[in-house]
Amino acid sequence: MFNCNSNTVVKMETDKIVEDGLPSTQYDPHMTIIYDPRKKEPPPPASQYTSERELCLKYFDQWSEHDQIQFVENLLSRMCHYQHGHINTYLKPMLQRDFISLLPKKGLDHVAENILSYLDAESLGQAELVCKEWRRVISEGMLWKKLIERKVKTDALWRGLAEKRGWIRYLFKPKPGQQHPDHFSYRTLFPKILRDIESIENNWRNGQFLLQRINCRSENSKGVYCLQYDDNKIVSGLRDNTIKIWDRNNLQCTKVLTGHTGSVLCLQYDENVIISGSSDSTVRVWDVQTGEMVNTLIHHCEAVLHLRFSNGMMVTCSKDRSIAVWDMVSSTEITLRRVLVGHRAAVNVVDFDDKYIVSASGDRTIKVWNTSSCEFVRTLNGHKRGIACLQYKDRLVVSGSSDNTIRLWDIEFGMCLRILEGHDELVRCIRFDKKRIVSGAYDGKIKVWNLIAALDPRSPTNSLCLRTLVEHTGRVFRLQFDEFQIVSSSHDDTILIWDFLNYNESTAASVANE
Amino acid sequence: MPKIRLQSCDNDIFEVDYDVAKCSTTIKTMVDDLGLDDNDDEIVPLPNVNSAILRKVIQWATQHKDDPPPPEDEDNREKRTDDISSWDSDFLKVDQGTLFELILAANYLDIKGLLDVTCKTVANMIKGKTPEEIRKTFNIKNDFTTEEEEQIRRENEWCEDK
Repeated sequence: MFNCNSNTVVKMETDKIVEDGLPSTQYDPHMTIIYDPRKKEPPPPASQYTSERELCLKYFDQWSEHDQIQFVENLLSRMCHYQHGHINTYLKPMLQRDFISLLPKKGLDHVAENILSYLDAESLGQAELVCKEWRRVISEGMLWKKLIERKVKTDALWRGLAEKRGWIRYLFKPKPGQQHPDHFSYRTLFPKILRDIESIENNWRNGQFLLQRINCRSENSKGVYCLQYDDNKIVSGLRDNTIKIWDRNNLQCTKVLTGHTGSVLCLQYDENVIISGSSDSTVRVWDVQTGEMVNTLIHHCEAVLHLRFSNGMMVTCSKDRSIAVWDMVSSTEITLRRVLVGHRAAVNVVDFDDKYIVSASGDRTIKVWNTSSCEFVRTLNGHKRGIACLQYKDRLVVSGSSDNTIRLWDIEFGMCLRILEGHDELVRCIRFDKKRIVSGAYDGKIKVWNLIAALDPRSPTNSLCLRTLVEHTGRVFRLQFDEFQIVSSSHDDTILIWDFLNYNESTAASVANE
Repeated sequence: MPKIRLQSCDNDIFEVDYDVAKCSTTIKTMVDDLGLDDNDDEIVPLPNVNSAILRKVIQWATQHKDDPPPPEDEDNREKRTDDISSWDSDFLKVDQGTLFELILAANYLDIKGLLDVTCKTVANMIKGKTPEEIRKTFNIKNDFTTEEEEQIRRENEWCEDK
């Protein structure tokens, strides 16, 4: 609302008011009035103006808000462009609000903090420079800490780094008896994290890693067919019929599980069980803590090539060309729900979620099945030879084939989005996350691909392979990776840990000097 | 449909559907606590909201009365500001004074959706601007000394070389 008592209110030209009712000079809002003859008339004496003004203001104050607005609009329409400009300059700051400084004055610090919590790091840095009060709100609201916490909650890379570097202990609620550092520490921590992430990304890009090697020293038939890892252990399935569990701290074998009478071709574990499939045609269930065998499923009549389980459901596939869907009540209570037939050669791999089961076969096709009804949905055709590996997540399927290519598919439309060429032999294993695809081939080479670029049809084909990693001396059978590492296993009887997190120039230099 | 009557601080009375009014947790609690179901004469006084702002708030609540409740895991999601609906963004094309009053009202009336979208709108006015542009946007005086400014700028250098 106008502040009518202010002395700076623009002068009213009272002589215009008496002219009301007469045909006034044509008013063109787009034209600046340069010469107006009436302005040449001498203004009334100052004393007269003062008394008239007081009278006007007295009337004005008595009117309703609505009438006041109308009156001022009326006044404005009688004034010229430079006067409008003058009023505009006067009015503009009256309508502005310094939200961040004003809200705390009303006891609403949390609302000011809420506004600033929508800012990214760059804007938050700029906001700190605005004025002292903004800086105070940012500091007292611990907004850098909150920004880091939000990143950790929403971004797997930040989450993993927080744990691996240990600064997660400064986030969220402190442990009883402990105190968190002050605001300034978080402000300085933030750029350090950015630099850390930058260096990890560089290591991936430039193929710089620390390599750890586990030699499995298998007695007779050498080779590691499958593996899965977490922060503490690696569980591997070997060609010599055993499952070996390795301690990640000292790379020593902590358990050997025996029972299978053929090579262990596939396995998966969770916090309770390890489930493995073998060329002895059985699926076996093991207690992950004790290593004790708790169940054997005899169903497939040839080698069990792959299996996945989650949420009380398991899918296995076999050289016998069939896929079996199982209900898992407990480790000892696993019952066959359905057998899916349709593939005309060995089914090498399966994956599934709530919506689809996806399978790939030596018959060169990928088949999609409905998870709840187990009905066949569609076939994805394109690979020119058998398919060895595949992963499926959200809408994306990525498959690797004996035709040496990798294909990316949209599962809903069943179309091939991209073909990745570069491997010189059969692509045996493949994994992807939000950013990358990592594939392993029979020539021992592992390739890292840019998934985001691969999904963009405009990306040139030759820009998609980021790196080729050559350390294995035999076929790469299986791999898994995350933001910080790749763990791979091979026919060469080794498991390799490619560590992109802990590599830096100084460790590289010391290795080179050795 | 049950109606309830809301009274602004300047004594205007608004009759609104209960479905609309219950967007405000404050009003909902008041009504539920007082058991205003059959008593038609009861008026809910809102001494912190003037009628111009209350009219806007009711307009917003009418548009959003059928919105699903906000997801519970909101804290675990990225904070976005590019998801303001076109209706909301038109609705919030107002001067900063009005926007400020709307924030105060949304906070007092405890209307989470309105508070979120108004806060996002202010955040969007800050995002991507230099400190001087921010000061201009909100009519703020720079009260840092040259030395202080230089020191903060040095601390911020990592931001700029990104």
